[in-house]
Order: sequence, then structure tokens, then C-alpha cells
Amino acid sequence: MPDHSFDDFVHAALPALGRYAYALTGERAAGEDLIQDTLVKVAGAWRRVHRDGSPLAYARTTMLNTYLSAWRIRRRRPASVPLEDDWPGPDAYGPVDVRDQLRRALDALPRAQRAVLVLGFLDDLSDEEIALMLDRRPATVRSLRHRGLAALRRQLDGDQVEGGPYARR
Amino acid sequence: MHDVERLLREELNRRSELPAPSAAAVVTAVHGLRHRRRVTAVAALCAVTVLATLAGTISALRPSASAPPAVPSPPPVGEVWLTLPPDVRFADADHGFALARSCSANLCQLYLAASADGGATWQRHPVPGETFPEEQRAGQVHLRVLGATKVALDAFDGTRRRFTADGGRTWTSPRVEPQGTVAEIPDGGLAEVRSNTGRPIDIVVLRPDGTSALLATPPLTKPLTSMWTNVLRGDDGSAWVYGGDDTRTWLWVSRDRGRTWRDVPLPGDAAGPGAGQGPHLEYGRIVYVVETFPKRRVWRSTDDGAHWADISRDLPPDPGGDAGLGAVVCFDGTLLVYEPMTGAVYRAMPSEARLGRVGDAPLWQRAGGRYLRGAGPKGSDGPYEHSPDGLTWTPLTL
Repeated sequence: MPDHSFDDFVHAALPALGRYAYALTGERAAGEDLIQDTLVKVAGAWRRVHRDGSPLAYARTTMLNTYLSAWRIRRRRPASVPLEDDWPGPDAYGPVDVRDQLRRALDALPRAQRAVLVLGFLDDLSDEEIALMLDRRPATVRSLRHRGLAALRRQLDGDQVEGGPYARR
Repeated sequence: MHDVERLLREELNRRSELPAPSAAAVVTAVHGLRHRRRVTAVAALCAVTVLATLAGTISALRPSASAPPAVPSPPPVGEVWLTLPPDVRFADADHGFALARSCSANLCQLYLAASADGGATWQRHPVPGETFPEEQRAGQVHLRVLGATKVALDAFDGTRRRFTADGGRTWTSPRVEPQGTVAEIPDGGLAEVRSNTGRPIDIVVLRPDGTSALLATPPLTKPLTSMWTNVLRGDDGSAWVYGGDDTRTWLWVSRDRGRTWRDVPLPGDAAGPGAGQGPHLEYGRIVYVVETFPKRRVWRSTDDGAHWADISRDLPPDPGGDAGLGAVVCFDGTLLVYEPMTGAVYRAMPSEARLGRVGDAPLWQRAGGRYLRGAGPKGSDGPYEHSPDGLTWTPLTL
């Protein structure tokens, strides 16, 4: 009799995995690729994972490891570049939206910093929980979060246009 | 000051609220992918067994039997357009390649357009087996030009490679996975960085015959979390690896085809984590670093980073730090810098100690052996033109 437990797991876990994948990658297509890569790995170890009884936790950790292993996804998707790397054009006066700045800054963060921010700010996980998932020390997690936030803050505050809607107060 | 934590929480919540993909489609895709991998593994095992058994006889009868049979490109059908954004690269001033497409009924066939006359005329060859939905606008492959007639197209997902040694007339499908090691990056070869979680990087060499191997002596790095995927080749044959971790950024150079590597000290803030737009290495013997934040500075080194000269004294300041700068290194080592707020172009020839203003013009990009520019309202918009010298421009028309 065919085992449908993996298919059932995908149906049940997809919203949770999708939430993480989109938050990590920041775009739909890359997120779906990440989900698929993750599930292929989970499927390969399904008997053991199913027997151990925590497939969603296993899938989440697999997704983080897949995401942190930059090789495949970097090759698949062109990297988001800061504004100054774009081809220059005469209309460089366009309005700059803070959300767009945050998105670019977030996408430019090193993957480990981004993963820590996602786990901390999306699911409010503690440093110890994040450290366990990423196989790092809690102090490293704190350092990664601090550096990530500092980089975002620097980028956002540095990108404010004097007198514009996002001017310094 | 922004409330970064609140903005970040909002942004992550927005991202995570995207609707999940169809579970049925994901299940089908996962099973399909696993099935294909199993079939491929079994087929490869069978092939290895058969080859091992018959190798002696086959090599005696057909010395070239190890090369996979080349599939001829089918005749072109319908109108062929450049893929967008354009993926164009010239092996030299005469020989160039561009990815193109021809679409009907929402399905596009990928083409390789090849020119042997400096981009004046192009021959278009369909790439067997490479189709994609029309809304993608481009095939899911990297264009990797190895020489005047040799091109590899590597799938973004790393699962397949199409290779031509005759400008696109016939195609083979060599294995993508590296086989064995090589002592150096061969003449006519290319190389890519492969990151390894928690371990130093590897260098994967693409040989001129379309096969891959690991470089025996990659630079000894920390585990990198961000990097340039390509090992950049300077015009003088030097090879460069650029990347960093959460603490800093490094640049390595090899001047013996990858046998030995040296750490190149970076100037100013360029050695910090996630630093700027990266160095400009195209010329090889001269390295430029263009910094735009917190201060505009342009550095030049002619001794692999032992000394850096600040050549940016005449650049207008950018107090906000948000205007950016464009830059391109010309074939003679001259640096052109584009100031987007005024449209002004600044130039520093190798013999000049600093950048000086030379005019107002849109800047171009290097596309291998030629320059490429968009002639549309923005510098990145079509129609596109290419040039061997930045003076005379030829429309890129397939």
C-alpha cells in the first residue's frame, strides 16, 4: 500500500514553510525554489524523519541550512544589488521609498545575519532557540543580530534625503 | 532616525504573508525531481558499467567515443529577439554571443546568436531542449563564453549544461558536476566559486571542452557567506576571487592560473563586511575600488594592493551618500566614472594621478571584448549598442 504520509505532511506544512521561505528570500520564485529544494531533501530522509516524530522542525532546519548554503541559490537567482551598482541613467532623482530601501538593505545582508533577523523578528525566537537551529553559539547569534540591525539602520539613515519625506528628525 | 526593528518586523510579516504555493503542485514537483534524480543515477550507473566493460574495445574501434554525440541545432523558426535584460558577451572584438528567444503560443525557444564580424551580423541557432514560458522573458541559463566558437549554457538550478564548440551549430550535454581535479585554470577555460557551508570555498573550473573539474589549489579562505560567483579574469590573464563573511571582505589574486593565490589588501572601507560595489579588476594589472558611502573615494593600485592611491580629489561630494557612482575600466586601463546627479563623466588614464571631468554622457559596460550600452531613455534600456572602442557604436540587432 503506498505511503501518503509525506504528501500529507507537505499539505500540512506548506503554509509554515512558505512563510519562512518568503521571509528569507524576499521573493516568490526564489522562495518556491527554496521550498522545493527543502522538500526534496526531506523526502530523501522521510522514513527516518517520520519515525523521529518532528518532521516540521526537521524541514525548518533543512530549509535554513539549504538557504545558508549559498551555492545553488546564488547561481539560480541574480543577486539584488544596491542602487549605486545599477546601470547609471539620467533619472537618478526618483523618489526613494523607505520600504524599498529596507528591502534592498535586507537582501544585501549576509545570509547568516538575515536568517537570525528572520527567526528573531518573524517568530520571536530566543537567542538560544536560534542558536540551536543554526548550530551556533547564542553569543554569535546576538552578534549577528546586532550587526544586521546596525547595517539596516546605517543604510536607512544614510539613505534619507534631506528635506524629503524621510528626512532626519 | 527610523524605527528599524518595527520596519523590519513589518517587512518580514509582509513577505511571509505571500500565499503558499499549491500543495499538489509542490508534491508533484518534488516527486518528479526525485524520480528524475533516481533515473539519472541509475542511468549513470548503467552507463558506467557498460563503459567499464567495453572501454577497451570501444577505444580501440572509436578513439573519440567518450565524447557525447553532438545534436545539430534545428532550423530557426519565427522572429528571434534578444532576451531581456540582454545577455551578451564577446570573446574578442570580433566574436560575440547573445541569448535570444522566439516565442509562439506562450512558449519560447532559447536561441544562441553568434557573430564573427564584430557584431555586424548574427547567426541564430536554437538550443535543443531549452524552452521556457513566455512570461519569463529569458531562459534559465547562464551564458559562459569560452572562446570564439565555444559556449556553455549552465542551468540556474545546476542540473544541466548545453555546450557548443562550433558557435551553436551542434550541441552536447556534458556533465555539470566536477570530475577530478586540475592543477590550473587552462587557457580558454573559466572558473566559478563554490561555497561550502562552514568550510573554505572550492573553485570549479570549466574546461574548454565543456567538462568541469575542481581546482587543486583554491585560495585558502574562511567560510564565505557572500561572494562573486565568477572567478573574474583580468585582461592580463590574472584570476580574482572576491568575497567575505560577517566580519570582513577579501580579495585574492592568482597570476599563475590558479596554482597559487595572494591576499590583496583592500583600501579605505572596502575591507569591511558587505563593502560597496566591489573592485574593478578587468584590466588585471590595475585595480580600482570605487567607494560611494560614507564618502566618495576612488582608489587605484598597480601592485596588487601593496599601495593604493586616492584619485578622487576632483569628484563632487555627495553629502547624502545616496547618489552612487557608475564606473567602467576601459581596455587600456583607463577608469571612467559616471556621476549620476549631474550626468558628468570623469576619467583617469593610467598615467594620470587623479580623475578629471571629460564630458557628460551615459556610461557603458564591458561585455567581454566589446563595450555595451543601452541607448534608450535610461542607460540600461534598449535599444542596445556595442563598440570596440567607445567611439563608434553598432546597433545590437539580431
